[in-house]
Amino acid sequence: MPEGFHGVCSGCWSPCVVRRTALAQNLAPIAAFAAITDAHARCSWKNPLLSAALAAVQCNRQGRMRNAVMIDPHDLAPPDYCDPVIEAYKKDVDRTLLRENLKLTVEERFHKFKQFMKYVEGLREAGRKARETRSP
Amino acid sequence: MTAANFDEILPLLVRNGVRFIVIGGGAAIAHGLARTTYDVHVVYARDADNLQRLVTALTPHQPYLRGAPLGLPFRWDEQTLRAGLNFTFTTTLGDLDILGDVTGGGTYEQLLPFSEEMPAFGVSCRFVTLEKLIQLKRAAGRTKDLEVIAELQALLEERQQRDSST
Repeated sequence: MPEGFHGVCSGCWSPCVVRRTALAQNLAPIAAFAAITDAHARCSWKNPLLSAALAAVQCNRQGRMRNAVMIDPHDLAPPDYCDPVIEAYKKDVDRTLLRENLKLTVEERFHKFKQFMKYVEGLREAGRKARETRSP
Repeated sequence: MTAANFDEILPLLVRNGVRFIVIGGGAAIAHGLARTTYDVHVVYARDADNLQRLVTALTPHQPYLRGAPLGLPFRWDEQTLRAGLNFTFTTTLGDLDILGDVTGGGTYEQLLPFSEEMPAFGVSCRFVTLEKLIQLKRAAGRTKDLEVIAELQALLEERQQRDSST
């Protein structure tokens, strides 16, 4: 039975070979394993590597291994793919800002961006001046 | 470092008939993301006509390779563009990255079905769709993009929610 399998890394989406036993050993103790499995089960599209990894963990727990799986490296995840890492970041997104922006036209969104960048530039300039006056 | 100068660069390219698609931070802002960006990223068509238009449009703005030592014998012409693919430039209008091929999206022609025209700065510009932008960011595989992908996905959810309620 082959030890490794071909997969697509969920980080870089490039083809890679993963050692199933190592993967199973690495993933099994993760406290969030149940949460990941649960989130993955709810996804409309399954990340092939994650599917294979979760299956490997399950198989390892049951004392058996599966055959190698082949995954197309050009298979990009759909935009609404639920990646546990991204889900963790998403919790902290300020959606009120997004809702306000969605009410604007494209022109207004760029105008807002420009105004903000002007403000940032103003702050930078103030900091520069303050440093100059402080230095002997 | 100055803010990306979308309001001058995009109309300039459109008025010169350059075929391009805005990706990266510019597309994110157009779709409604509240983010900062310091350069303009576009995917451009690589046919001879388009390269010529690109050269004509940017020549008055002295494009130069960003980060390269001053005084390099850099020639801004069609031949240089043909010899390369993805370029990062400084111009008198600000930083501009022109990509012949983008990871996860491919060439201009391949990306075209995943783009949409939107009015901006008095012209109609082509931006990559929000859905494809998320895929491009993922395909880039950069750690710094994780937060942006989360925001883009949240934006997509908000947009879908808004569309379903109207």
